[in-house]
Amino acid sequence: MILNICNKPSIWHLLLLLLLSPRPAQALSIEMATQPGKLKYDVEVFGVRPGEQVRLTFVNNDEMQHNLLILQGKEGITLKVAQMAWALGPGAVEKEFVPDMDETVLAHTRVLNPGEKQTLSFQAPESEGKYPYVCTLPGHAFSMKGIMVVTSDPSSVTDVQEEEKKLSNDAFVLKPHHKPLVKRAFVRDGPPRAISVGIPGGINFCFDAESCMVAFGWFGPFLDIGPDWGRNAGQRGGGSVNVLGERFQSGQIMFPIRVGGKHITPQVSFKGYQLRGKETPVFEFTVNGAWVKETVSASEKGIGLTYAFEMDPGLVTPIFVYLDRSNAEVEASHGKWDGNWLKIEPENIASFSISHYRQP
Amino acid sequence: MLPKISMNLKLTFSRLSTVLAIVCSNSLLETSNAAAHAPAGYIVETLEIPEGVTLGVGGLAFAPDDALFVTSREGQVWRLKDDQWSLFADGLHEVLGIYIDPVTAEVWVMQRPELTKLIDEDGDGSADVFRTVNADWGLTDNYHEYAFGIVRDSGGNFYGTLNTSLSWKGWAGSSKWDVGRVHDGKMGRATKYRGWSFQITPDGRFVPWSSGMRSPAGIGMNRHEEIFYTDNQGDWNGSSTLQHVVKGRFHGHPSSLMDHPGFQGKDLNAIPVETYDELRTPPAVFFIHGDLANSPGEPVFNETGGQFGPFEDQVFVGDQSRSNLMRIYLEKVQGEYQGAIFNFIDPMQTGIVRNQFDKNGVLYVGQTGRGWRSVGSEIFGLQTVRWDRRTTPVEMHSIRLTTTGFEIRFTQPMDETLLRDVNQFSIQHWKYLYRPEYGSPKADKTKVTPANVKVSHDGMRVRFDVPLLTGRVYEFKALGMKSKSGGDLTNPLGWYTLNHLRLNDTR
Repeated sequence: MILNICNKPSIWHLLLLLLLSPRPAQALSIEMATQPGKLKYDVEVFGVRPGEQVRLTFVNNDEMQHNLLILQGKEGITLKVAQMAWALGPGAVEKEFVPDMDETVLAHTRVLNPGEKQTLSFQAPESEGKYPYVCTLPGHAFSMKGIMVVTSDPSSVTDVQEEEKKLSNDAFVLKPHHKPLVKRAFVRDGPPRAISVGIPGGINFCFDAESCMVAFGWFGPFLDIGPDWGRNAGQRGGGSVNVLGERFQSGQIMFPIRVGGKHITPQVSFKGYQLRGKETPVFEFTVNGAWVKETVSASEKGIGLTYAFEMDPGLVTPIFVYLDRSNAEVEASHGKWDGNWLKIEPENIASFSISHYRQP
Repeated sequence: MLPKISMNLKLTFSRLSTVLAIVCSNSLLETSNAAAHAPAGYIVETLEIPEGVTLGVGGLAFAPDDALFVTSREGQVWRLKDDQWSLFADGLHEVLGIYIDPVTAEVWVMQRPELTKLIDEDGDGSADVFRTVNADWGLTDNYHEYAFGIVRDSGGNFYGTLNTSLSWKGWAGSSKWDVGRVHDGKMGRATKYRGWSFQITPDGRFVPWSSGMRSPAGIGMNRHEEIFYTDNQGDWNGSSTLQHVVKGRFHGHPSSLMDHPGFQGKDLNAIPVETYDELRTPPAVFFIHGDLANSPGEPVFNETGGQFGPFEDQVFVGDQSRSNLMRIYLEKVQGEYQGAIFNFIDPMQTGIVRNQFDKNGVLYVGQTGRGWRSVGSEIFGLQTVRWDRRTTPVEMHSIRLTTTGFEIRFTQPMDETLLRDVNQFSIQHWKYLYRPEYGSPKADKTKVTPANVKVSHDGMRVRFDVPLLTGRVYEFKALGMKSKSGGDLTNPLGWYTLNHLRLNDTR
């Protein structure tokens, strides 16, 4: 953490300043960069006085584009603003990935290319409280965020995410950088034949290669593989790895696909996966002999997953897909819902997708 | 500590560095524990591992282009070609075996949950398709449910072995795996086919092959396509063993019989130990627990056409906790394999689990020291052992059973006066008890004196008579023995496992 408060006044300076002015004449300078490759700011919390003049310089030392928006609102506001930025579509770049929310966005940088920097000068809000900041480039908001604390005693502000940072520096924490990361190992409270996938941006999921379905998802950091590898020479390893973020339901509470009818018992067989474009795992399995390819990605609508299925277009019967819709939003590219069952007509089974997510 | 994730990572690989030259002490060796490092003429070298990578070796194989593939407990597959390492596959679940087709270069790996074919579809040097070939055995989250392998026969069938589950709550920390323990053994069968060897056919079918395994950490196949595996000392295993795998055979650990068609509906705890004893095939060779080995790994056959010195057709096995390399001479007596075991290099840099010969007869030794307090300075690594193609070491080449005793063959002519002296050989035998308890003492130790000593004309062989009892391990100690030119035996102990008597000797 590099929280560089320049002109840190000595007690004599402070006295002098107090005598001469009701407020320090010089602005508080803060320099912020990223933790390269980690989708994180290197300063994740800092304190300022109410109404204080702030000069915040954001240096993009990462290999990809980033921006920085300082917001007003509760903690979940970061993802909400980011999703509105993602929803800007083709115009997003022109608007620097800043949605039109003047009351919420207190200050922001433009989209900075690798190596660029920009200094924001602004006056801190007068009312004490927490003001989140976030990068709104697609997918970054899950991990690239922090909190500006407005308080009369900024020295009391400590890095509340110290613990998480400790984890992210741990040699046993797997971090998906620029592409999805696949790791097979036992997962705590997961299936034995688990395939964990971390998607850059902080959405992760666990696919069960035995039942051929997504067991659960989580958002936040990916995996602590220490229990699998053994943390030192004395440990045997082979233990269940730790999911580091917060779990959410995948909606796949049973194997989801039925070929020919809802009540036909599915016989599944896992066939492996391929890395499409050397990156994205595409799971392959058969259900009652029909070949299925499934690609799982982060939902763009909220915290959740999008399941894209590709099936043999030669199938002549409709298929039914079961997804638990309670406590979640569900959107399908094709088909018609009947309760938790989605019916896909034969003409659409070559390619269809379903998003399962919840609003932050 | 953490490997880089880039799939095309190329790392420079510096030349092999010789770390251990051959040392042969002139002083007499007092016990097997103080054995010299390596027999004369054998050179140990250490390979450099890609920087920052944890490579607990789980499998070794050579591709047709001579590239070495190394799989790891950490789930990676690395490729070493022309002194450069590159990552071939990542994210796998503890890869403890690999097979590469010598013609097509197709790659299969044994992961804990499945047998997988790794395909490099775009030919860029890293796998992009991970095709599941078979996953029909049971798996729970019990750390001891290892899957070891793999060898393949000329018919395209793969063979591997499945560890029992660690089931006793006292060690497992939970009772959730406490299924299938028999007579209060420690290991059990928390799910199907634990403790079995298996065949996977070219069309991907799982065929249960032999039962009764405990911790079958290594599998090997000779040129006659005969399969052997090593098992680790523990419950029902008085000491570690080398065993010949034959379809339908029961190797002695009863938990696996839960999945045997002949035992369906039977209470395995109601069957007495004596019955299991009758059903089992005794091990071909006992490793001597404590003296020689605690946890042996992959047995590899020296079929190098003499490139690895005078021990052609012998088996080389390393030990994961003692970090030594051993040598086994096998012979068929009454149609079954049995034979003698010797120490070879002791110790190497850390625990040894895998061995492969390259086409030049250099033995590659794959190592991981994590978990069982291995001897040595490293936690993982790769070393090679090569013979200088000149020096004949001073060793017992083999111990052969005769109809009335044994014949010891040496690698070179020995001092005939010493050879004729019955006092030069200290011989005793004992048995390992077959029982559910953990390990066995050397039971009923008996000293014997050789009689009727005969030395061959070339001075390379001595034979003598001793009382012969089956179900016993015979220990031969020749601490003062010297070669004709005055050299000491590097490893002056040998142990012969006697299961069957030789009825007639054609030699």
